[in-house]
Order: sequence, then C-alpha cells, then structure tokens
Amino acid sequence: MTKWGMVIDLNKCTGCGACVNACRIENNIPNVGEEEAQKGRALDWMQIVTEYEGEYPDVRVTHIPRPCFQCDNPPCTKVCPVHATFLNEEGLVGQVYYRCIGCRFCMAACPYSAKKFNYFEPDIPESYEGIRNPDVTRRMKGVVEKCSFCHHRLSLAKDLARFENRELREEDFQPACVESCPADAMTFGDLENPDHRVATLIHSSRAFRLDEELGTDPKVYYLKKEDK
Amino acid sequence: MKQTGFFGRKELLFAAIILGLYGCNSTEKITQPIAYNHSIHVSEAGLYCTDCHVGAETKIQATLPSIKRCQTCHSEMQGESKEEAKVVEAVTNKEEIPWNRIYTLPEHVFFSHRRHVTSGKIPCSDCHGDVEKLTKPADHQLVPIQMKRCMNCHDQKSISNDCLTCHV
Repeated sequence: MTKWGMVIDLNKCTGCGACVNACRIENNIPNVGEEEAQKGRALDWMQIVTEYEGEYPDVRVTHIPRPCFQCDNPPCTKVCPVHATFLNEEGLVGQVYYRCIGCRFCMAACPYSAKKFNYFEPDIPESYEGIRNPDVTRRMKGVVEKCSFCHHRLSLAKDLARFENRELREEDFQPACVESCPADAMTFGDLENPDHRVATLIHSSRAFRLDEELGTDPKVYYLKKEDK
Repeated sequence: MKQTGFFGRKELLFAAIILGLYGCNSTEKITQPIAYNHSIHVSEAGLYCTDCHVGAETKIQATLPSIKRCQTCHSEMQGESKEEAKVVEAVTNKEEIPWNRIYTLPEHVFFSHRRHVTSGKIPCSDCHGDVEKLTKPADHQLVPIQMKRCMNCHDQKSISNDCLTCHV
C-alpha cells in the first residue's frame, strides 16, 4: 500500500524560505497582514523553525521546515466531530473545507501546530485572480486548513498515468515545496516503495522524526544535522 | 424550549432552505445563443460527442466546441435553417459562439473527463442523459449532478470513495 512521506535533510537546508513561498503560491494561501501574523494567525502551511545553539561567534543554526506531518496515527482526525479531517488509505491526512465547522478541536489536538484557522475571509487581491491556482479550493472564513502534501497534484498525476496506461512514477508527484528547494534538501515519495529514494533515506542512521515519543507516527522524517 | 423530536424547528427550517437552494438547482433554465440540434448532428451527420467536445477523451475538461470545429462543415450553408445561418455568420466573422455551460462543478471538486470516458469507459449519457436525441438545446441538466450519484457509481464499480479522490 502506498504511504506518501517526506525526508528533509537538515544538513542541506539553508532556511532560504523557497518552500514557504512555493507553498503559498501553489495553495492560494492569503496574506493575513503583519498585525494578524503577530497574533499567530498566519496561514502558512509550511513553516521554518530556526534553532540556535551556542553563543556568538560559535553559533550553530538549524533550520527545520515543518509541513503537516501527515501522521499515521493522527490525533487531529480522532477529535473531528464531522469527519472533515481523516486519514486516507494512502496515508494522507485530508481536510475537506466544506465539511469543516470551524470548531478547532483538531488544532488543539495537533502537537505540531500544523493546522491553521481562517479568522477572516481570505484577502486575495483581484490582481491575483489570474495567477490563482484553480486546482486548489479557496478556503473561507471559519474553516481550518493545513498542508495537503499538494494532494491536488497527486490527483492530476494519477489521472495522467492512468490515461497513459502506466504506473505512477516517483517524479510524477512531488509537492511544490520539494520541487522548489534549491538545496535539494527535501525528498518525497512512497515510503513503502523500495524504488523511491525516501524508502532508503528513512533507514539512515541520521533519520529521526519530531516528537516520536507521542506515538503520532509522522511521515515526515528529518536527517539530523551533523558537523562536518 | 420545546423541541420537535431530535431537531428543533429552526434546524428543520434551515434544512428546508438548504434543500431548496441545492436540491432544486437543476431546474434553472439555461438558454443558448443558437438553437443547436444535437440529434441532426448525431443521426444525419454521423458525429460522435467527442468530435465537437474534443477534450472529453484526452483532457480533464470536455470543452464546448470552438468556432473552428463548426467551420469544418459550416463555412457555407448546408441547409436552409435560420439557426445554421447564425453559425455561418459567426464562422465568416471568426467570432466565437458564446455557448452557456449547463454542467458546472464547484471548485472543490476534481473531475477528469478523460479518466471517466477513456479509462473508465463510461458512456457520456450516463452523466449527461440522452443529449444525442435532443432536437433543441437542453435548458437544464438532464441528469442532475449530485454527490450521491457519483458515490453510488463509485461503489458499484469498486472505485475509492475516499473524500480526497474528488475533493481538493
């Protein structure tokens, strides 16, 4: 069975933010403005958390890109009263906006703060209309949203593969963040498929997952930063 | 407050409004700029749906025919119909005919024609009705598009009914 997952090499990540911007454009993420962002209401599905160790000049900086971890044992889906968020058969945690009632139980349950709430109607300038991605639903005020691993790309890739009468290849489905990473720090694929690079990378001695002890079984792995 | 069964009156009223808004949307009349006769094109000219709706087999959207498709046969009058004269005029002036869509899907639904027509081998009439027999343009959806209908068909053909299959 397919299990989509991601591996992020912290040695390679420079914290440039290309993934954050690619995600914003791909998924029609509105800008909430500085004031709201300071209240923690920014809607970015991909965030970069930067950790500093040591004192100047011997500082060690680690940038940790954090999408939704698409947990195999997701706490968010268990608390949703309307089945608006759920784990599908390919291991993706879906979020159906038209089902969401905005109770935000899932946000409280997610230990990684991956879910975002639309406090206002999305403010997307009219001039953006022509460049809006038509494959991604616009979210409305009062619903929760989160990283989907660019699931719409999977729908299109599957459709094309089926049409061309072939199997889905690794390169057919890559989320926008992975595609845009200039440092090649992110790898994406089927964790269960030995032909996909991620299946090998997750067995690296450097591989770890955030807060593994919570038992959420995330499908985003990191490769530990090592001093060279 | 006294409740009427499990739901209160307000809830029932709300449900009635929702049903009114969404349940009856297929009765809205849609008019076309030209009284196109599907039947004559299929039975006499021997055309298939995909000859004019060219995207249905190979693209996500079936598409409405552009004037170039009409031009293939209608650069000159084939008969004496007033409606055909409008097509010939549009072809001569190289103007697109502003056809009105009858089937539209909300933006949160992903639907691929090629997946259903080419891969799934589903006849057009399963979702669109017997359009080929129409002598006038349809003014409503002959087969109303409803999620229940999609899900039933997926069930019967053992296709996944996972929300992410269709909702993006």
